[in-house]
Amino acid sequence: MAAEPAYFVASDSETSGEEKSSFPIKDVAIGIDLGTSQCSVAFWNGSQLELIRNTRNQKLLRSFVTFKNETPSGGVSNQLAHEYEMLTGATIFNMKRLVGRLDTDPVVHASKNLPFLVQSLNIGVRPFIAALVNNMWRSTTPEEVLAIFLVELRALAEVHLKRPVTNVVLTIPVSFSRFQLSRIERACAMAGLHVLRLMPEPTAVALLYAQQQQQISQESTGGGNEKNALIFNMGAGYCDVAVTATAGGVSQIKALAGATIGGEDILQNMMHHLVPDMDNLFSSHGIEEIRTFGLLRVATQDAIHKLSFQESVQIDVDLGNGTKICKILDRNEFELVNLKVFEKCESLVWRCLHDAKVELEDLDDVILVGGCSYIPKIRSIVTSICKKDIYPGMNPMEAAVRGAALEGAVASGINDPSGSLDLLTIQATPLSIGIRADGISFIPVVHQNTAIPTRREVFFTTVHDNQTEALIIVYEGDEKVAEMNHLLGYFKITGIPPAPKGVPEITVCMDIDASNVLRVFAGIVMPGAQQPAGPFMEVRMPTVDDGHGWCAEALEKNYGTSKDLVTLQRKIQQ
Amino acid sequence: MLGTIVRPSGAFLGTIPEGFRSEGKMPCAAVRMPGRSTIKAAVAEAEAEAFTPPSAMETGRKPMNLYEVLRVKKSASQSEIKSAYRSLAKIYHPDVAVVAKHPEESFGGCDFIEIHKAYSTLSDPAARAIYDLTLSIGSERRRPLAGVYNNNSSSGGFRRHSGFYTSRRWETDQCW
Repeated sequence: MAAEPAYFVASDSETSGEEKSSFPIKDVAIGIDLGTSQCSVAFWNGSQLELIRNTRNQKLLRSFVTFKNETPSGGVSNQLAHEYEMLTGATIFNMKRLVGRLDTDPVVHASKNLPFLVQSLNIGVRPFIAALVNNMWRSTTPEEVLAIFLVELRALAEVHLKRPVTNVVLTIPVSFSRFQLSRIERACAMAGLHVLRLMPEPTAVALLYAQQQQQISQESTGGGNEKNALIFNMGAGYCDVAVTATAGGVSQIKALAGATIGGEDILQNMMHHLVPDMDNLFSSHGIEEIRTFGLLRVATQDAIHKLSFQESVQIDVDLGNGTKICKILDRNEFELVNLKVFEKCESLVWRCLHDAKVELEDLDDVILVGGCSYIPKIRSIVTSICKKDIYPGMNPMEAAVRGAALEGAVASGINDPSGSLDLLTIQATPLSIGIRADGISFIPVVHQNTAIPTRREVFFTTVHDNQTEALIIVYEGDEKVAEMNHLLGYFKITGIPPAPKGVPEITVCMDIDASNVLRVFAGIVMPGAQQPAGPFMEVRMPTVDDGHGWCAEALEKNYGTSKDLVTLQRKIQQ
Repeated sequence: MLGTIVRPSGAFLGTIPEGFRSEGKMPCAAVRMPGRSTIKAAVAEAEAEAFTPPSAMETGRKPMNLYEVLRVKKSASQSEIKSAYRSLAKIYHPDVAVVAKHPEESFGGCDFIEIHKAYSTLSDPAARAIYDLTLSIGSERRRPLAGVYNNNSSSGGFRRHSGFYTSRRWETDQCW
């Protein structure tokens, strides 16, 4: 994909010493931290990690795309004259909160008072998203917006590295479903990028931590002195927690926990607190309302930032529609309004520690990263649970992208004579993957926090006499009721030999490889038979497409329980 | 985790597509790992101390037990087990072993799964104790013990993943 002329700026205004980027590295994957509000790009320059700056010498680039006339432009090349410019309706942002979500999703509903248009019909399809261009709502999709932004990032990297860039390692939230990951991959493909790895954000930080620890203790390669670290990452859109065990440059992810909760929720809460009938006020999305909204949003955001460094803040804003907000806001009030957000953070930390089976006294380091890690309440929550001071060696805004670039170099097979790339992350599955069986239950085949690559198998059997077909409906999540989880796909196995119910053995096996590709296998074995009854099925998941909110319902309506399965109890007992 | 291992009957042998089973693919000597000399040295050490000669694996024979998979002595301490696991992971994990170029040889993943299975049993003192017991029983049937183990697991028998397998492979074990 050719870069637009605008990108052919000779070089960065800042010249970072000698031309390290001309180092003969081919196809080394770059790292991209695709944040809800900010993005950054880093790469391994042959000896160390380096963040790429744009022509304005910025390392952190605002994630947005403005639609003007015919050519959309993103936050990489486009400089906002003022924050308000982002809030005119012409600019789409918060893509990462919207990508791969259905219009029934509460996160989509919470996005309705953003300045651009987010419409939902509440029927389980993709929401309608549009930008205001020449006083018209022009439709787009989160994938398209991400792709436009990624094209700019790619062009920036290519100019800087003076070589084509195709391979990338992207960081993603822990709570993303595989369907959402497939949307991110699609956006990358649209931008001409090949995704080498999608790394949950805290695991990228864990890899960087592993490298730091390895440099500290070079003496041991296998390392009996294992270090446990808790990594808490909270940005504008998502909160992620990971517990990692590190020694000898190997970072093993013991547990992951995440939720769609972040700075955006805090901002929305505060805006609702300041203007209680905000939703009604902005529902019509007229030009005036968008302007008013922009004023409120900027003032609130500013106040929240200030509260990280001072006890109270004066908010003084004229919304222009006869409403004036004049208020002193202190930390207590701020923490009370966002009580639920903070409680959620707390529960994520506890859950992750519990799932990792790591006792508090065995925790060596506590790492806080992400924009929200500056909020005093967040810091006090994490430190008081872990009873530890915050690890000082991590830049909260750069750790994730550096980790991603490190993984990019490692996964591209780069070696470093000093051994500083002698690293490995053993990833874990953030969510369980299983099928619907035993009525409406979700039966996990691969459990949460299983080391990747992995392969697991569970046996099922028929619920009806002479049942010849069975539906394998694959879900991802941790809810007991199948439908509460993310649907990944479904397929039918046919040709079950006639037999009383409970006799045929239907095996469902799930395989996740190191690049996190999920394959589901299923087949039929009759007890005593040497060969399976017919060929196995192999399905790469997810197979669902947009509008999949309907699928489960349609399957239920059309087939009822006629093709159901139950777990094979006698196999469990043994 | 026991998926392919606790395969309950011999009937299942051969039903799973090629590349799907994890047995017997330990390309030990053939690891492509340019420049990772430090790790090689570490493994060489581990092999020298191994419970059984490493040649058993290099000749393609299946490891007899979990200790052989991790190439540690039966008396290995927890930190030795962790250390061995890490060293092996750095060789057999697909991220380092395959270098993303030989998809047809990507059995590296399978090897790592074996190693991880061995590690998850041996690094859990309770599971390791039960496993050691099954080893000492030797060629006798291990099913009752498997039952004991499953009853100990947290969620109604379904969480079989942190289990273990014994000196005989379930695939060839006709007892079930």
